[in-house]
Amino acid sequence: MIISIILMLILHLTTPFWWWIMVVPFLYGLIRSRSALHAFSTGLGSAGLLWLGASIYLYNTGSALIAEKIAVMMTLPSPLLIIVITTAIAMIAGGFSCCAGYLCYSAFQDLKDQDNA
Amino acid sequence: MKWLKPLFLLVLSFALFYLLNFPTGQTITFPVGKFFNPFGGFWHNNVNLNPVAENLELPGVVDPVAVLWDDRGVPHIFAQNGYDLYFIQGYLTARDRLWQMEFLTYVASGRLAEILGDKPNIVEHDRFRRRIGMVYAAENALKAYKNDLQSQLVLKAYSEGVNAWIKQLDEKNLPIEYKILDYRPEAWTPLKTALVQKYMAWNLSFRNDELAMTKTKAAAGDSLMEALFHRDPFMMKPVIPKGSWWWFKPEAAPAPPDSQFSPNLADMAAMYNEQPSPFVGSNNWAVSGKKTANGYPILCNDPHLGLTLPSIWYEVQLVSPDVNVYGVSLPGSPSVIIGFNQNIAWGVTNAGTDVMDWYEVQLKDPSAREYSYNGQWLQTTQRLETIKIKNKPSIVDTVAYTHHGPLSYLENEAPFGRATPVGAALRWTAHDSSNELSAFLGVNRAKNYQDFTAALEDYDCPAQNFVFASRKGDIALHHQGKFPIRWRRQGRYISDGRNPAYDWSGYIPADHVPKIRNPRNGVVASANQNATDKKYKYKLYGGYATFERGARIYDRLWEMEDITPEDMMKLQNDNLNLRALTVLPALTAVLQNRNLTNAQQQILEALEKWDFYNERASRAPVIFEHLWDEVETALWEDDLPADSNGTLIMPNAGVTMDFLINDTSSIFFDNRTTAEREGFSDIVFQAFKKAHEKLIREYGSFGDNWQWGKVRGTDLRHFARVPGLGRTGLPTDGNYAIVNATRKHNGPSWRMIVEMGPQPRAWGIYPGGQNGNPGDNRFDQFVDSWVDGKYYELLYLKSPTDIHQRLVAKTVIRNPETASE
Repeated sequence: MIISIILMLILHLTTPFWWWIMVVPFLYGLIRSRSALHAFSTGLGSAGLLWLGASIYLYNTGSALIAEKIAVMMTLPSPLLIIVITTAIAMIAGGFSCCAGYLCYSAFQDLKDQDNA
Repeated sequence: MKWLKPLFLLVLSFALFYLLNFPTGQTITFPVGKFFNPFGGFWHNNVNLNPVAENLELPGVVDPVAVLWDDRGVPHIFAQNGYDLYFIQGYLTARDRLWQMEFLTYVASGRLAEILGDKPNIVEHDRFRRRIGMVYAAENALKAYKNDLQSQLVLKAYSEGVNAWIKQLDEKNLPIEYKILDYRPEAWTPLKTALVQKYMAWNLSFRNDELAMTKTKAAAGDSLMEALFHRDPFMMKPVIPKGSWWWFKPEAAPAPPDSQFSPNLADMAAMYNEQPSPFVGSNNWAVSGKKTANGYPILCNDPHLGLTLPSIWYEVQLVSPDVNVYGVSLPGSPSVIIGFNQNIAWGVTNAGTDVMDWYEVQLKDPSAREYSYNGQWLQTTQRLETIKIKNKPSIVDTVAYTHHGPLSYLENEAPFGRATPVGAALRWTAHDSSNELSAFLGVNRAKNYQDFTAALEDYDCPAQNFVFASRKGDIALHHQGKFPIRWRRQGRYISDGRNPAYDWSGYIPADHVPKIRNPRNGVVASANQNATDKKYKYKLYGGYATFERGARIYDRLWEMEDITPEDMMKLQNDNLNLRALTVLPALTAVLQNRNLTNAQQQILEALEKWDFYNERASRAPVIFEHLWDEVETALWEDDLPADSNGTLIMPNAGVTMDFLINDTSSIFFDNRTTAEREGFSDIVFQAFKKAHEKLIREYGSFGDNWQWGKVRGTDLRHFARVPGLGRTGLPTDGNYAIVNATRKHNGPSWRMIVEMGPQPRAWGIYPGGQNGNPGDNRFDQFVDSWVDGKYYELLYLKSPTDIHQRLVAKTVIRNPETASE
């Protein structure tokens, strides 16, 4: 999970793409997960933690004003909900893609087992 | 079956990816994943965006440029040549205002559907801009620029400066509006600058009443038009004072047509209102040194425009070997539009003189390829306009151009804009090839009145009252623009496009336009009112402001002596409601004799005790405004009733005031829809009761909720109306027809006062901030002070080595190829 977070962080900082929170967990699920539930929770946890941490950091270092304005734009009562939404997006995207990665892995595994048998 | 689960999850993941990577609907215009990404989305548009660098390597500059930043974010640009100066003006304006300046060009050229998609009003808006020839106008301006080497160089430098900023932008540094609306900036071009200027021309000069006047005349007849619409303006003090001597021999006016033309009125209007607000106005004035405490001339200007965030103005000081000018610029356009230099100061108000006419066109057939003119069939020119629509196929729109101008809407089409007639071609000076940029470049460099006058010769549209003051002690005011020479009432109604007698045959020569220099009383002033009295030797018509603002300014300046800049600040913020002062005593007098309820008595007393100042804590202004509206409606509604195509035109407020003061026995006070014969006093009483009911309904019983600052207030909406990015409910004073002409969505967009001593001293403020990033506190930095009528002293620097406590940073910009030398 730590590896996944570090990898995502590096890719985020060096490229403009948001979807590393789907690609990295997918690969993680494919390579390292032990069960569907484990994959889902690590994907969800790693992507969620990264975006939660980043948005809290930004909120406290100059982004509070824009978060407030985006909250008003989206008719939300509090800018903290903007952090919640940011985190939720990452959790859902990371969780499902990691799970998809694991299930692809296990389907391949089954295929291999069948071939071996 | 084992594949089912992974397949399902894969599909789900892709669906998620799709939802997060593409905008999903009408309300969510942005890709959610990208937008919320804390490493690149909106989170990045915070206070740390675009920090000021000490040293900057920038390909494109020729020599090193120094930029000093003051504590309000104003760049003071010191360049060693003109090219660098405008290159850096473009670069820094883009740094702070890129989205705004580009969006303005999308509005001007009718390209909003490219960004906002297929919404009915948006596509029709775009079509409207094409139909009135906005891009055609901008292209014609470019032709004029091509004949002037300096303008061409300045435009090229500015465009490349903007593009140098765009080039270094990465995805995460994009202004937030690009992220919200999900598009990217294009390269800047001279055409875009021309579009910004034509947007202002539209905003300030695209207005006339011809359609409404023509309809009203058809419905109400000639005598009513004479009685209500062709009167001398009430209590008017024109820009050029009455009794001025016109020394010149005028060019001959064209002959009027033999008979009066009656346009075909079938199906003439739709209900949209796309004329710019008639309350876009302004004040400017100058007093000579003999009126001031220091003995130096003082010049003041407060242009009233639609108020938005970011503000329409960007403050800047531009210095190169041949110029040192400070003032406000229009983002997207090089030079300073309102400001001062070492020797002169100038400012503008809208001239209001009619420079657009509609001509009814007779087509040979619906293809619009030929039209009748002077007994012949002439060819139209067909111009294809491609309206691109986001996620939809483009629409190709054909616009036929006659020699008058574009045939905006055919008879079977629904126009966008209530004032736009169908089956008529538009003649508008904004379409003509003219070079206003060169005029501003000249004014920026002017050393004296002669330079100033010479520079203005290039200035055609939008016509403006240019006020002037110089260090040498001259003051002047020019009603400047390209004005057709008209026969009596030419262009008051829709014109006959077939008859050459209706064509514009010539223009008022530049040295015959109304102007005044160094009058004996030491005062020149304008407030969008009539330019001259009837003695002026040409006919000028237009949508002029009623007398109140102009008269108040003139009266105050006339009586003031030993004037200080602080006195001028007070005058710009003057809230005396001269309309109320003029009519209200007559209205309250007749109400005293009526049977009033206690509640009505209470508000009548509030009106009687009122000092006539529209101040935020006062409750009387809202009562007066409601009463005025009801009186106006009661007076005219029965005489000029609404039809299915909307209302007929109402006489302007000056006419209403004239009747309320001077002609209270007029037959117009009778409500024709009732059997009784009403008089002045009945109408006022009815209006008062209605106003009271409405006030109670809207604001509850008489109390603090009626305070002017709460009831009216001012909203600075975001320029693209994105909710949350503007400032709303500001408790402002003033109103239209008041010197402090602050309204709900318009008002003083820049207040400036310049004292032209040996060293110019100046004060200014605009409702906004230099920084165009809504995530930065500096986005609306000046707003609260503007609400309170405060000013900042403007820092006019002489040299890049100047030291001042308010300078906070310095950037030296070099070309990387020569930087190492």
